[in-house]
Amino acid sequence: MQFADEFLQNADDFPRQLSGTPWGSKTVTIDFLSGPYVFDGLNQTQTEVITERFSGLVGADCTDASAAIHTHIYTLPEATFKSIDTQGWEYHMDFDYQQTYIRIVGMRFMAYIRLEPTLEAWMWTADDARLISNSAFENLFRVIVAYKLLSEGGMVLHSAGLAKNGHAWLFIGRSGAGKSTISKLGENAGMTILSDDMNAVILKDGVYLSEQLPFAGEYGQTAVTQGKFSVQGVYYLQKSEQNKITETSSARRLAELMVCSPFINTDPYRYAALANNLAALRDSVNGGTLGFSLGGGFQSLLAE
Amino acid sequence: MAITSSSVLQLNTDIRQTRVANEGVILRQNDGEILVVNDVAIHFLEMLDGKTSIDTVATALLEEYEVDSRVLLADLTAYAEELLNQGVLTET
Repeated sequence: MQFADEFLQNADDFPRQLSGTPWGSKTVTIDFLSGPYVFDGLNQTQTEVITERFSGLVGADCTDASAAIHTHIYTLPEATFKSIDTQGWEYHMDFDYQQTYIRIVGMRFMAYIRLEPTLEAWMWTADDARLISNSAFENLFRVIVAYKLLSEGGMVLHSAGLAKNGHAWLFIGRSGAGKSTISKLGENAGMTILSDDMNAVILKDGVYLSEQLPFAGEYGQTAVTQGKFSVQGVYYLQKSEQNKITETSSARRLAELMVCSPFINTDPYRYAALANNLAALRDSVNGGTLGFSLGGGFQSLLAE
Repeated sequence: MAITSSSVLQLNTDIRQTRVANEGVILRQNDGEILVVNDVAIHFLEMLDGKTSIDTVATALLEEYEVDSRVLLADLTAYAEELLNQGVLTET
């Protein structure tokens, strides 16, 4: 199947110009982690649902245009898109990776993310009030954040994040590895859950800091960030009868990190930069495979 | 698919590789798989340019690594066959 075939009635309908008809004249600025992220072209309804979803992070209008990452949002007729039967359908998007930009097509939206010379995005969607509930906005936002962090030595990781005493530990693994479970166990032990699904890692003054991403997960959907925490370790999760940390080779650790770094790990033009960022992270923090017991107690293995 | 030490191979078209310090990261773009290989392996893959046979590559690698030449050649041929069967390499 060719790019966009699954989502568009006609794959050639992907806009050839970076323009369109805005939904309205409203702007929302979401201020967190390497942002601010400014979304314009919204109508009142969209502004309200976005503001409600990201409430604690929606800030004042951006005054420093040079620091902001802009996304322009335009309307498209519903007829542009194929109808998706979401029963049993796992949410995914189509990516078209190119040297200086990427194109994305998903359920009821298309997007163009320009990566050079500056990061900027354009989104065309048929969703008005459903812009949040249909996940289009959030899924595009995740990708934009991932590329922004990449450019600064950081990354986004499918991971559970737990924090205590100003430190954070991330637990990577695919779906079903136990990220939500270990998050709950950690909370029961007095740790703070960052997110049980996706966390960001930034490099600041030579220190790796983690902050939750306010995206989907059982925990961490709150838009009120817990703050930034110094990363002490990134462990690969494995359910086990007893709590233990098993040493793994540096090559395996890098592979595990790559697999858990969405969007960019399949970008042929930028996966090398991601690999470099991840190798540097791997070499700076504790790691290995964390076998954890459903009875709890794993936190005693975590070095600060 | 059997190959010999005189086989000439190259990376498949959907394969991207990059060196990260002493390791190599290989991306299989078509299925999103990632392989991390060691220094010798990435060096080997970097030299498979679609014109150079496995035994010529082995001769070059012998100048850098202190190993038995027969062992190296046998290992590289076996490794190449494994990667060929996985779709990482293609025979020219």
